[in-house]
Amino acid sequence: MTFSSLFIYSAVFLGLYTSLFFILTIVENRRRLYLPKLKKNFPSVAILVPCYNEEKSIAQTIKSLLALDYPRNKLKILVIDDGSQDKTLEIAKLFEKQGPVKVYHKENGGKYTALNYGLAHVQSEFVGTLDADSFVDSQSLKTMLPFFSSANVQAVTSSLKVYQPKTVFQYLQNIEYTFGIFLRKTLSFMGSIKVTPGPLTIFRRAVFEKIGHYRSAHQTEDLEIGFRLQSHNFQIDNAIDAHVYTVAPASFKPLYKQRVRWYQGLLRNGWDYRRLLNYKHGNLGLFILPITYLGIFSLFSISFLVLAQIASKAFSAFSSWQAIGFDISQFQFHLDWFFINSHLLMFLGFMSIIFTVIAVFLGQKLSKSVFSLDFGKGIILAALFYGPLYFSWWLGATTQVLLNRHPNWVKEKELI
Amino acid sequence: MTNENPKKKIRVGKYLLVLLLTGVIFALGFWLSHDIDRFKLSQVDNLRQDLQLDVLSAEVQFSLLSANVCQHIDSSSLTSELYAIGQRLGYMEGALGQNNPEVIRLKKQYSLLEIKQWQLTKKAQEQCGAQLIPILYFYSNQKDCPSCDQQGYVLTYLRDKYPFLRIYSFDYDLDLSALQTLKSLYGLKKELPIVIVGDQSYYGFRDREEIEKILPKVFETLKENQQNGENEETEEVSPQS
Repeated sequence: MTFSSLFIYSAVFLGLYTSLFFILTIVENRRRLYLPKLKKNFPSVAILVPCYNEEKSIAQTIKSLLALDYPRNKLKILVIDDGSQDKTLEIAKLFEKQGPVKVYHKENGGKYTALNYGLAHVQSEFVGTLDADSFVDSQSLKTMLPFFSSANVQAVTSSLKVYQPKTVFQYLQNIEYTFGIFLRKTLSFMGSIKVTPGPLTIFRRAVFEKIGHYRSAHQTEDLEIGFRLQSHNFQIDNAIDAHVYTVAPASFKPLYKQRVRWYQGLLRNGWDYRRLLNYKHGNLGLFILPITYLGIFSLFSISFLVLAQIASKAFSAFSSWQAIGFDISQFQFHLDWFFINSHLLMFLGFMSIIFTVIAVFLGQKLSKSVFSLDFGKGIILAALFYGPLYFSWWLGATTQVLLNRHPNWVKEKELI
Repeated sequence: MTNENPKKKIRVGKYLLVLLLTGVIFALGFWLSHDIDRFKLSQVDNLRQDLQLDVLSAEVQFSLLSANVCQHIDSSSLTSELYAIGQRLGYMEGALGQNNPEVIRLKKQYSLLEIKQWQLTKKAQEQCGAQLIPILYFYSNQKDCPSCDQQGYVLTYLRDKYPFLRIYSFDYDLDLSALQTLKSLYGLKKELPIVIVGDQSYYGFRDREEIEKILPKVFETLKENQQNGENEETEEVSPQS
């Protein structure tokens, strides 16, 4: 067995191990997936909506918050305009007369500054964050708040979905997000959630006094605050049936920019919080973080091996073409089961695909969502294109980190 | 860390249970792929046995019907069986490795069958005037023959294009005495690839056009030989008449 095949087998082994671990975790916690909705003793909640050039979606975001099924006297909505150059501020101001909405304007300083600005203006027991391109389900607060009944829970995340997918890239992200729903719930049972997404996470306001406010954090403040909560051994939970819809990038370029920003953030914050890689941080330090970093390493190694194989196949096709010239008979294909690869890797690869599909279906089912034709389309697209796309995002992110470049979030916004 | 997060707690039992389950899936995969490979090898062996029977039967036909042999010999089905074995053997060589003892054993038997078939083709050509051209091709799987792959493509292409071609390919390095004899018969040196068309050996890569140019010449020599043979026969027969 050569070194490369030994490496591939180890990577596949770890992949299978992780999938089985996750599925087993969900199975053993199947009776603890949901909590009853909050019916009385409503605590005060403030939702912060940082925004920069969001004129297209801000109105709908605020409307979705106004439609929340929650006592009006307990809810505050703070829209913080981070120096937008479009009509975001004007549009947001239109809602100020409607009950709990308060709009603030400040000079542009980045999303984390807008969040901190908002934090400085709230006194409520709980504080939530919602990106200005996302829309909440009316029941989400009542579904999320019961998770705070456990004293150590400092943050509760929601189930993030793609808002009305229309393009190929959105269908694909829809599947990825659904997988994310499964993943986040699984990680919550292992005390290992490491991101508190911008589209609706609720925190105990007091926690910011203990751990400090938001930081620039390589433009992924929602990841850094997750890491920071974990480093203080605070618990982050997940309400899988609290739905939030976000406008996902519709084409390759904005999606690529977004992902490069996210993943360089993971690499850089991962390095800043490398002290979490310690068995003292339990499942997170012993298993989840190591497997995340090993996964990235395997992604690169296996992708390069696959690319080398494709290159060698292309070379032999080229030399065949050179030797005999173009001939249509070269493209005739006879299917003979004998030549189907029965290699162990094929079997294991097949098993991994099955586990991934199970995870995606569980994500959809457990979040109480319906299976639609769009979902089917997404599955096919993801099966075909997700691998190369994911590799391209990571390649971009790693290159940025190695070249010490930083993503330009303002430009990314312009693309969307 | 003063805070308690019970969910983070490592449960060794669960980690071990998942390790066991993953191990079981791996073992299942090993067992399954091993079994399928064995089945495939046995399929190649079945094909080889069938072909061995066919070759033997053709030989018996030759000796039984010495006069009418030419009407009864049809080598095309034998050839396609031979190609099928060759193709499958090549695949198994890739899957199980060139040094797999089972693969080497099958390869030796396959080479022997090729030599036998080559003899039959030559017989059919000489005695029955069959319009067939046998080509012997020597390659190597070692790294010493970079253009062997290309030569293989050319010959496969020509074989598909010209049904009268019979191509017999041999691994130059295969340790088989009959193959050594064949090599010494043509006085071959190890300058691969080697293509033998008619009685002429060509060293080094030959592209499609080069080989296509050789073919008519071979046909001409073939015809000449046959005519000479017929003349000799007439000369022998004429005094009696």
